[in-house]
Formats: sequence, C-alpha cells, structure tokens
Amino acid sequence: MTADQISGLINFLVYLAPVLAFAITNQRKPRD
Amino acid sequence: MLPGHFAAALALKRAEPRAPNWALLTAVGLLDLMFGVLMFAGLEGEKNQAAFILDIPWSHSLVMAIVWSALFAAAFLRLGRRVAAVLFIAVLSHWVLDAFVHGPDMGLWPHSGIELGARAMFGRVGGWFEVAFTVAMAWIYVSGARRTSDYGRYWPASLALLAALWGLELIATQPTLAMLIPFLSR
Repeated sequence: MTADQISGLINFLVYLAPVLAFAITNQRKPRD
Repeated sequence: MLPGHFAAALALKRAEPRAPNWALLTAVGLLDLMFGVLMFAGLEGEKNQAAFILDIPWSHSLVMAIVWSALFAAAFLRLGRRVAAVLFIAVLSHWVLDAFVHGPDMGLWPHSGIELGARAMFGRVGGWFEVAFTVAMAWIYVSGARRTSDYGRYWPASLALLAALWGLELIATQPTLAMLIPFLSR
C-alpha cells in the first residue's frame, strides 16, 4: 500500500468516525 | 475545517428535522469522503506537500461540487423536495466553507486552470472564521434541540464532540500529522 493510499484511508476514516458519533448524539428524544 | 462542516449539518437538522441524521452528516463531508476514496484510488492527492496544495479536481472543483450536491440530493427526493434541497445545501456548504481556508487548489471545474481558495487572503482569519461559524451553527442547533423531541437527544455530547474535533484539528495542523491527514490541515 502506498503512502497516498494510507493517507486516503485515514482521511476517509477520520471523517466517518464523527459521522457515526454525531448520528448517535443527535437521535430523536424518547417520548415521555 | 472539520468542526465547521459538522456544525453546518447540526444547524441544518433544525432547518429540516425530517432529513436523516446520517444523510446530513455524510452530506457535509461528502467531498472529503470522496477525496479519501479518490486518493486511495490514486486519482487525487497532494500537489505541493510543503505548501499544503492538494490535487482535488474531481472531489473539490466548484462544478463537480454542484454535480455531487445534485446527485446526493436527488437520491433523497422521495423524502420531499425540502429534504432534498437541504441536503443539496449541506453538500455544497462544504465547498463554500473550504473556499475560506484552502490554498489555490479548488478549480472552477476539473483541470480548468482557474484555482480558487482564499487562504492567502484570509490567513489565520480563516481559522477564526471557522470558530465563529461553528459557534453560530452550534447555537442554532442547541436552541432548536432544547425545544423539540425530533433530534438532539444528547445535544451536550454533540457540543463536546465539536470541541473535540476542533482540538483534533489544532493538533493535526502540526506539520508531522498534516502530512498524514491532508484535509484536516486546511
């Protein structure tokens, strides 16, 4: 794997992780 | 420009709560996600590592950003025109925000020879613009989330995440890491 490929993979994962995290913190609130 | 993009997604959730979280969050980062994929495929990459100039004709040129925005939005037309419009804005917001902090590497269209990116004009002001923009978007998000049950179940955690991303960005702009994670340093 080349340095560019490793960098591309890291870029992708660094962006994907917050997507998942924010999707969890931003869920609908449970009804009372 | 990492917290700024996600803050835009959170604020847009208030504008249209029917837009799925994952779609909004993916939309604001779509151009960078594509950059990652295209870089992996060898189609994009660094143009001038020392000057932080990227080779990003297909993920980050203006015409392509509009094309990606339209395609992404079209995939959600079944949820209504308003949801699709908000998602169009979400994808395109990435390009607009990046234009403040990128060097001249965002073409009008692929290989147009006309490269945009106002980093030289704004310098460090671009960083402060991001902070101000993120705070403004976070305020829009939180003030909405406190009044509705549609979204923002753990809104304080969203704020903490934004702050953490800002910290990560500060660390990543150190030269060693910047080489490893190119877009974070923009």
